Amino acid sequence: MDFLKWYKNIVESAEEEPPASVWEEIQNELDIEAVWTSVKHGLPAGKRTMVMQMMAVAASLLLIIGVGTLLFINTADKEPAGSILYTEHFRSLTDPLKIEPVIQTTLSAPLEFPAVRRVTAVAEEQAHGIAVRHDQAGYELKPLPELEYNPVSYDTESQLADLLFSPFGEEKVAERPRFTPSGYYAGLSGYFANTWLVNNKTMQGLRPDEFTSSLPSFGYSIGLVAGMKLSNRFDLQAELLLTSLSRQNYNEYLHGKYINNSMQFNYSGLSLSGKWYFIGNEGQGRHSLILGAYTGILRNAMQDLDGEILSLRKDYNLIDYGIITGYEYNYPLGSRLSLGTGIQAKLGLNNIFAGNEMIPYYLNSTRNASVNLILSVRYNSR
Amino acid sequence: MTVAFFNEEVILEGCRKNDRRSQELLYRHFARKMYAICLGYAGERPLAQDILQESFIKVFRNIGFYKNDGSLEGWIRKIVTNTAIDHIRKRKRAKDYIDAEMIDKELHINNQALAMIGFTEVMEQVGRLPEGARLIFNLHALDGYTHSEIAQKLEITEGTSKSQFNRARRLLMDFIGNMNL
Repeated sequence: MDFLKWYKNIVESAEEEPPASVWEEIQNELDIEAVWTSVKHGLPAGKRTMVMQMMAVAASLLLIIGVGTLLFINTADKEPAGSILYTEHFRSLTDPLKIEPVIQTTLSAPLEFPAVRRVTAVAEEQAHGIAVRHDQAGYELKPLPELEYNPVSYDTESQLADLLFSPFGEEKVAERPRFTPSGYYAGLSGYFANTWLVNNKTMQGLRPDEFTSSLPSFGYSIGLVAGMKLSNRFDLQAELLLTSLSRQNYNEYLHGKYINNSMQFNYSGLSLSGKWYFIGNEGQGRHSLILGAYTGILRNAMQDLDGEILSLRKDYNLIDYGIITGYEYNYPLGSRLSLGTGIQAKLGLNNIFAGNEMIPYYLNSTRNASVNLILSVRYNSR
Repeated sequence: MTVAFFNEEVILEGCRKNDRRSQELLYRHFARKMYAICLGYAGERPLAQDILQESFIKVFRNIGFYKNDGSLEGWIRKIVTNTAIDHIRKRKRAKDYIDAEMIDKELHINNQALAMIGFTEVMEQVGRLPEGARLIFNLHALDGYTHSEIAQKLEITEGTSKSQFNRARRLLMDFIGNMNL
């Protein structure tokens, strides 16, 4: 017998059952490919770019709110931009009781400290006719061009006394009140939410020809709210969400039958938002627009698959963040209490799906989204 | 599992539409035969399973390119062989060949002895061949590649292919001849 023919025959006529795991692995690979293909077809070419743009918009909003608040605090009590007020006053060298005219000078641009000293010295020279060419620090003294020169009259004794006991030639900058918020408030907030897991499966489940149906799902949030009234029209508000429950329900065709698949996520979180009151007044009720950002920490994630409870905690990321926008109406309930009600939309910006052994994170990009009805009660400090 | 009914046209159409049931039927129909081929090339079960798995994934991915111009089994077999070559070439021992000193005599095995040997025993002995030599031996003995084609595929000289094939044949005969039958 030809050894090679014998060998070929024995191999080609043989049949050996491969382990079941081989077919399971093949199915897994095919599933992943199917999901990926579906995702690729579902996502327009510019979708990833759009997500990045949304994140950029959110970051810009946060920056605007932050910088705007800082600028508001720093500029609320100041003179119009680009002007600095200096007050100069002098006591006569020859007669201590004689008050020289007070010089109030408005400069069109900020001056460094040496320049201020020059102003003082030039004023001194003008007031006393003393030729001063250099001050003690050696700075050359020159008259400043185009200074406004507005004598101010003093008609009260206290003002006069202040001037009398001021050191000779001392520069006195007008005292300005520091920024103080016009008030604070704190309270409780509750939300009833229509929640969605925005992913490919949910989107496909909205199509009538798909086996899986995405069902409307509802959750709720309870939190503590605190705010600072920056002005009559603008509040800065922080909110601590003690619990924030979001759900997504599916009616799913699995293994030849329809089953209920309910996913539930419980977050705790913090949000920061700006409120702009565009109509109304505090005494009668005010309408406001809300814009802000939130972040949440996932406490637990569960799946109820036709009565079988599974933990999804490892499959989902710890952190969720996104943007908030909405409308709220605040109605006074007396001198200090007020009731707030309105509607708020939240959209997560990051993929909360962390991936698992079957599906990598990038094939099942999932974001939280919700539409919330707000009810809040707050106590106003003043 | 034996598939009693295998309508190739219907199943191919289903596979082209990514129908999972059709894919499973195709797999069940050919997996046992192809697994035996994979074992011949791999010489060990874990590697054979990897080759089989990847081969069928390639089959399902590329089923649209199969134009019914040859036997479906032959087309799948080609994919299995190419996948086996790819897998073995990636391994460190892919260049393990047989030295001349390892073969010292020509063995003659009688037909009765060969008739008593089953597939599993043969695979055990094939698994003892150095990987590079086993690949060349199978490409020529099982799939009928010429030494010129093998040289091209494996980027070796034709002489190496010929010598390794002969040494592998003699060494395998030696292994089988020394089995306690």
